[in-house]
Amino acid sequence: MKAAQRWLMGVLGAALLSACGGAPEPAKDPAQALREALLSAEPGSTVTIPEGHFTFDRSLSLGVNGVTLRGAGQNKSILDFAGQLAGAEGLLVAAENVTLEGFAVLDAKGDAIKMNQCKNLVVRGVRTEWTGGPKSTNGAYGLYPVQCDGVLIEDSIAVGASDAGIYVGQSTNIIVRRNQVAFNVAGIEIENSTQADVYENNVVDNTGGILVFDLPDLPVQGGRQTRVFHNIVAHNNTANFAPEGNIVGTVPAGSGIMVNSNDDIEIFENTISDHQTAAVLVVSYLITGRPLDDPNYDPFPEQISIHHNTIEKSGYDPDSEPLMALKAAAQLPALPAIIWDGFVRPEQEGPVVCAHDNGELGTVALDAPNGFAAPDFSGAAFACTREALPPVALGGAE
Amino acid sequence: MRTAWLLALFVLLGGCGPSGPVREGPWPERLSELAVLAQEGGALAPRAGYAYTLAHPLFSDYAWKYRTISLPKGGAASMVSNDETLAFPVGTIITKTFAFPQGASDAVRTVAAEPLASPGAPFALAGMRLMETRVLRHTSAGWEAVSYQWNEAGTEAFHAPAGALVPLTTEGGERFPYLIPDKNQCAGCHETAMGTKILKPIGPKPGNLAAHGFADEGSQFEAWRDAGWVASAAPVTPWAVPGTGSVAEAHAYLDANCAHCHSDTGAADTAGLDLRITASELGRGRCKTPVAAGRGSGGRAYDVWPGRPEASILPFRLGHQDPGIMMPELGRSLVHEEGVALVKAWITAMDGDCAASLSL
Repeated sequence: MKAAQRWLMGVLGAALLSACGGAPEPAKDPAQALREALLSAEPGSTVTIPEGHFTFDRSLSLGVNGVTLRGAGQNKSILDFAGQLAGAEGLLVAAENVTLEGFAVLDAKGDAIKMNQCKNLVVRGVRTEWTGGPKSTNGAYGLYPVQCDGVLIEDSIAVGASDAGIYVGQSTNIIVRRNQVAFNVAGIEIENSTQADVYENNVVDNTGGILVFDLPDLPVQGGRQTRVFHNIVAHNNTANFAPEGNIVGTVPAGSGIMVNSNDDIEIFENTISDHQTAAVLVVSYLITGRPLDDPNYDPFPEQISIHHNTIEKSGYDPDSEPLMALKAAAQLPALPAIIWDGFVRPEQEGPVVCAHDNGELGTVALDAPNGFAAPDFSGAAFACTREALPPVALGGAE
Repeated sequence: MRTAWLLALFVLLGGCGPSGPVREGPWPERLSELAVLAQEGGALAPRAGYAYTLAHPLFSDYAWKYRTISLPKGGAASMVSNDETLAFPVGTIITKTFAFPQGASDAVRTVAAEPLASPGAPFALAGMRLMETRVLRHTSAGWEAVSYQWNEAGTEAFHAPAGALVPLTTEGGERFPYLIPDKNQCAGCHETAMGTKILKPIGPKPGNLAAHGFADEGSQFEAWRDAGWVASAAPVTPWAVPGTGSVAEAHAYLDANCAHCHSDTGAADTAGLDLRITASELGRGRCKTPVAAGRGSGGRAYDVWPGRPEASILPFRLGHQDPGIMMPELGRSLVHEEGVALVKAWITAMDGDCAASLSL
C-alpha cells in the first residue's frame, strides 16, 4: 500500500470512529490486527493472514478451538520474528482442531511454531525457516507439536532448526508427508510417540535425516509403531550444529534414518543416498553413555524391520570415533549401510532388527556392549522378516 | 458554579462509577469502571476488598506489586491444601498492580519493593510509574484474566487484551522491553492444567501467604481466617522465611516462579521437570538431562548438577536474557540476580554428583 493510501485510510477510519462517538484511533498495522484477530477469534472461525511481510517483537498465540489460520501461501504471508524481544516461540497454539495453512514463520528466537496438547491438528503448506543458514543460535524446533493426538503435517517446509525441523513429541496418530526438510540438525524427528506414518518427504542436507527416538525421563514414553517409507533421504551430512547437551547433539553427521530405543518400526521403500556415517542406524539409549535412572524406560530398540530400500553411497567417512576405528580396523573403504549397535535384553532370543532387500551395501552388528570387540558383518544378526505394520488412520483429516 | 452544574448532571446520569465491583459481564474499558481499586490522596487502595502480599513473589523485572482481593459479599475461600491455591468463590476479583519507582531522567529503578505496613496500608504512588494492573475475575463461567495498561500520567488504566511491550531503561542504562501480557499469555501461566482451558490464581497459596507478609503484622493467613475470609481450621505451614537463603526458600522461589508450568499438569509437563514446592529432588531436575531445551541447555549436561551451579542448566536459563534461552519464558526481560544467587546457593550446597561422561 502506498503511504498516501494508508494515510487516507487512517483518516477515514478515524473519521468513522469519531462519527460513532469513539475516540479517534490510528489505523492498525496488520501485525497488530493479526494479533487481535487471534485473541478474539470465535471457535470454528477462520483467521486470514494477508499477503505481505509482517514483523513482530513478541510471540503470537492461538488458544481457541476449531480455528483455521490461513495465509496466502508459504512464500506470500511472512511472519518475521527476527526482531523478537519476548516469547519462547513465534506462534504458540494451545487449542484443539486447529488448522494452520499457507504462511511462513521466520527467524523465531526460540521454536517457530509450538503446538502444545492439541487434538486433530493440521499443518499444511507452512514454512518455518531460519534464514541465516544452519547455526547453533537458531531456534530449536520448526514445526513442534507435543502431547498431541491426531497430527497431520503436509506440504510444508522446515529449514535451519538447531534441533529438529519437524519434531513430533509425546504424541499419537501422526502423519508427516510430502514435506521439504533441509539444513536442520534433525530433519524429521518422531520422539516418544505412537503410531506415526512418515512418507514422501524430501529430507536433505540435515545432520540426521529422519529420527525415531524414545527417550527416558519424560511423562509420555514407550514410543512405538512408526512407519518410514517412500521418502527421499539424501546427503544429510551437515556438521552437527546442535547446542551441546541436547540429545540430537549426539547424532553423527551423515545419518540417513536413525532409530533410538523405539519398538515396532518399519523402514521401507525409501531412497537413501550419500550418507557419510550410515544410511540406517539403529541404537539403544545405552550407547549415549548417559545415566539411566528411569525404571519405566525401555532402552532397547525391538521389532525393527528395514526392507526394500534403495541405498547408495554410505559409511565412507563416519562421524563417530568408534565407527571410524571400526572402518580402519576392518580396512574397508566404507562401512555397511545398515548399522545396529547390538544392545539387547539379557534374555533376548533371536534378532531384534530385521533387514532384507536393501541392495548390496550390507549390514553390521557392532557389539557395542562389549567395547566393539566382535563386530559381525555377516548379516546373521539381521536375518528375519516381520509383518507389515498397519497404516495410520486420522479419521478424515487425511 | 459550573463545576457544581456538571456534578449535578453527573449524579443525575448515575455517574460512571457503578455501585460495586463488576464481577460478571464484559470487561469495562477502564479500570476505574471495574470498581475494585481507588486512587485517592496519591495512593492506590482497595475500593472493595483488601490488600495482601506473598512471602515468595514472582519476579517481574523488579516491578513493585500491589495485590488486592475482593470476595463477593458473604463469600469465603476454602483451603485445598497448604501448597495449592485457595479455592475462591464465584465473584472473587484479584488484582495485581505493577509499578516501578522512578529514577533520574525517565529511568526506572530496579530495586526490591518496600513491604507494605499492613493489609490496610495504601500503595503510595509518589515517585512511582504505574505500568499495568492485571485482573483475575471468577465469573460464573470460570476465571477470566486480562491486564489494564496505565496511561503515562498514571490517572487511568485501559483494558489491554492484546498486551504491549513497553520500552524501559534502568538507572544503569540497560534498555529492556517490559511485557504487558496479552490475554493468551495470561492463560499461558494461569491455565495450570494445560488443555483444560480452566484458569486459576497462582499466588495465594496458604504456605506462601502464611509468613509475615506485612511489616508490623503476624501471619496474613491467620488474619484472613480470623476475618472469616478463609473457612478452614486446618493448620498452615509457611514455606520458608524470606531472605534467609535457605534450601526451603530456594524451593519456595522455584514454586512461585516456575511451578505454574513445571508441574505434572502444566504447559511444561512435556519436559518432565517438576518445580512445585512438593517436588522431590529428582523431580527438581537433579542429574536430569535436557530433552527439548534447544539453546537453553547452554552446553550443560544436567538441569541440576549437585555442587556445580556453573554446570547446571537451571541457573543458566534463569540468568539469561535471550527469549529463546531464558526461563521463565515470559514475564521478565531482566535477570533476577538475587533469585539466581538463591538457586545457585541451593545447588552448591547439594550433596552428591552426576555421571561425568556423556560422549557417544
